[in-house]
Amino acid sequence: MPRVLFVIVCCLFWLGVPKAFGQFGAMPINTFGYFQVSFQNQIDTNGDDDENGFSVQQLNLILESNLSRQWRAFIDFEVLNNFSSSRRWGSFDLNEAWISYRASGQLTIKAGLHVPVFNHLNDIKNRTPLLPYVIRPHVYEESFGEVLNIEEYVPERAFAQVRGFLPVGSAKIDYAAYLGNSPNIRSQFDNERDGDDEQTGIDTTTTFLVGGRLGLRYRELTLGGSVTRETVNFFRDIERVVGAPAQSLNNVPKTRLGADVSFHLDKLSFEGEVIAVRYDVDPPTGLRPRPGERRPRLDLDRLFYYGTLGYHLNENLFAYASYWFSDEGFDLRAGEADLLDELDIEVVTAGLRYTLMRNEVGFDQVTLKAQYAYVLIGVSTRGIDPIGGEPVNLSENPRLHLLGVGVSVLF
Amino acid sequence: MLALAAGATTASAQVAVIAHKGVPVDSLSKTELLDFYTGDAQSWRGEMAVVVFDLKSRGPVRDAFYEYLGKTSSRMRSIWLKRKLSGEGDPPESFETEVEVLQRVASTPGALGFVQQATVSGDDVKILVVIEIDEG
Repeated sequence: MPRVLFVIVCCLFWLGVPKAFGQFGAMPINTFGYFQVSFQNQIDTNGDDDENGFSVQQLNLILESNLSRQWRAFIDFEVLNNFSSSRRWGSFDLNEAWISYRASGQLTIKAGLHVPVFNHLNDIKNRTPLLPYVIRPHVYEESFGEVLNIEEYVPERAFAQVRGFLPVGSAKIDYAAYLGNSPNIRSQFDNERDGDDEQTGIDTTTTFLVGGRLGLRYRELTLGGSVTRETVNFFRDIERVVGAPAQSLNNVPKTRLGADVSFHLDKLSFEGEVIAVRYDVDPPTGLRPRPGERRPRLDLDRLFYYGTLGYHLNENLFAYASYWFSDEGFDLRAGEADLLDELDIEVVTAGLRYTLMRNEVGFDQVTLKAQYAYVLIGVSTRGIDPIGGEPVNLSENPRLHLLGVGVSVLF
Repeated sequence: MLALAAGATTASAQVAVIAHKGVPVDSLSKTELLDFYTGDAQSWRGEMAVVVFDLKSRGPVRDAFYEYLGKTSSRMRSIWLKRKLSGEGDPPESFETEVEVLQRVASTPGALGFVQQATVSGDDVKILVVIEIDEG
């Protein structure tokens, strides 16, 4: 009997909850999301380190509420790489949590954690149902986050953004400007190392990430230029090695510059981007040259570009070929240090996307993808080991064949 | 009273872009129409929210409408999917038949849709644009 009473009370409560929320004017929450599952086969041309792997590359769960015609709340949880806390695989992140106010198409204000606009792909890079790739252009591939510092190339988080467009005849000028934390966030790892017991997840500097994009849309042609500016404080760890005065490398300015283009011409499409990252560590920061040399050098500049040419074979089938290149390094010749470390990654890839359509105007619920990539990696280190003081001269050029098949599901 | 010519596909070779009688305009340019259907514009001159309707299935009417806008079906789906996943808006509500579109436009303040012109008679909706169907 008590069990029956319990069930009845639960039913009454369940029936009453919507009314109670209705009385308070609570808005319904839309819940949806998407995930991408893939199988990837990697073959090293030297015959070493071949790998096969199934993976839930990414899962995003989105909660959204239209608070009114102009106000909208949006939360996006992101799960990567077969996340398992017990096995310490992958990651689970609060990717976005924001509220927006849309005055009109000319002005939308967003407040809260979000992925800011930078070039064509950054703010949609984790929307896997939109993209034809199993593996995205590598500085946008979230599942590579454990091995590649994506945030070096593109801004990952901002907290306030204004965005909109201004009509000019039949063209539109797009704009976006945003503000966020500089990347100097205190993490649990730092606290463990330093033995500090301070609050994590907060910016430890008084500087901000400031960025934006200015673009032009005309029919199916889109052009844009992007920029971000912030300061980083991780150079202070090498002040003594490079002979710089204490505190002189506390806040090194970092600039990302980007350009993007895309167009659709009947069944043909193209999109491409360039990203250049520059650290401003010129002599005003107090670097001392190496003995016998005129100028000190500390260079962490990076470059990335990609271009994808696609063709719609029919409404369901899309084929593409793409080229990606990144160049990053660590060139340090100052004080007692003399080290040149370089990493080039070049990818030639092609693939197919097949969409299973629910109906003509509904969304593509299921997208099948297949991709082949030939990856050329150039790694070299030359100079003096800053820790052991020994000469070092290493060079490797691995070549990889990658084959990936995947399915992206919108639910 | 709506006089409906449901199912007629050859009676007229024109598509009518229709709106609720209460909308504050009597015509639309192609750019304005495209802005409504891509979500760039979401209100009638800032006065009233626009509610956009679509047809579910491909056919001469729907094809002519999107051809007039200069977009393919797959491109429109991609635009709406991007908006949805970015939290910028919802896709148009879509209906199986032109009769349903006509009825919903007539009964929904701020509504915008498209049907074959022969489907429309009487004055329950405004016709804002007429598009010729290329039957070649």
